[in-house]
Amino acid sequence: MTTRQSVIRMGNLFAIPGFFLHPLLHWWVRNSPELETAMHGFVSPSISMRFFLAWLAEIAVLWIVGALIGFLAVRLRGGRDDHGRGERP
Amino acid sequence: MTDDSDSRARWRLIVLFVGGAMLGLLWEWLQFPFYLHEGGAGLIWSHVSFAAIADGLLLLLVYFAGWLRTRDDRWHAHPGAAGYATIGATAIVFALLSEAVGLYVVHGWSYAPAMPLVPGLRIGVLPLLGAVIVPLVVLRIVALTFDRRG
Repeated sequence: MTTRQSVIRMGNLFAIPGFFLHPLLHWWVRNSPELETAMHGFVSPSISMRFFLAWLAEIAVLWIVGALIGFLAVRLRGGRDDHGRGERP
Repeated sequence: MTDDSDSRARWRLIVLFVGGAMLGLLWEWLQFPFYLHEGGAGLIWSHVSFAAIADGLLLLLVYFAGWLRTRDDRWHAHPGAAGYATIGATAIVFALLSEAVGLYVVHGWSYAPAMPLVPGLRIGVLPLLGAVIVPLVVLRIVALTFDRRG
C-alpha cells in the first residue's frame, strides 16, 4: 500500500464514524437535557447552523487525525514505497 | 527531491515529536505567568506536560501538512513561501481549535489578566505565537542538523 493510499484509507476510516457520531450525540442530548450542562454546550441542543458547522468540523478533524495516523503508520513501519520522492505509478 | 531511507524517515518523525515536545515544554514555562493556576505542583506539571505532548503532536501535524502539499519527506529543508504558509496556517488552526476547546468547552485552563488577547476572539496571543514559533524553530533545526546531507 502506498503512503497516499494509507492516508486516504485511514482518513476515511476515521471520518465515517464521525459522520454518525455528532447526530447521535445531538439526539442523546435532546433526550437528556442535563447532558447539555454536563458537556458545557459542546453539543448543540437544537438543529441549527451551529449543529451543521460542528458536524462538518468534527468530520474534518477526524479525517485529518485518521490521515495523520495513516501517514505515521507507514513511515514508522518503514514499509513505504515512495521513499520521499512522490508516489510511483 | 532526494532519496531518503526508511530508517531515516522513521527517526525524523521521532526527532520532530521529541523536539516539539521539548521546545513546547520550554514555551509552556515561559508563558506560565499568563495562565491561572489552581491545584498543587503535580496538577500544574501534568497540565504543562500535556501541553508539551500536544506541541509534539503539532510538529507531526505540521510536517504531515507539508508532506501532503509536496509529497516530499524533506520538504522542510527548503520550505519556500508556500512551505512557511503551510506551517503558519496549520499551526494557527490547530492552536485556535485547541485553545477554544480547552478554554470554553472542557474548561481545562484559563488566562491570567496579563494574557494579551486576539481582538474579537477571546483567545490568547501567546499560545498562538508559540504554536507558530515552535514548529518553525524545530523544523529549521532538524533541517540544519538531522537533514544536513544532500
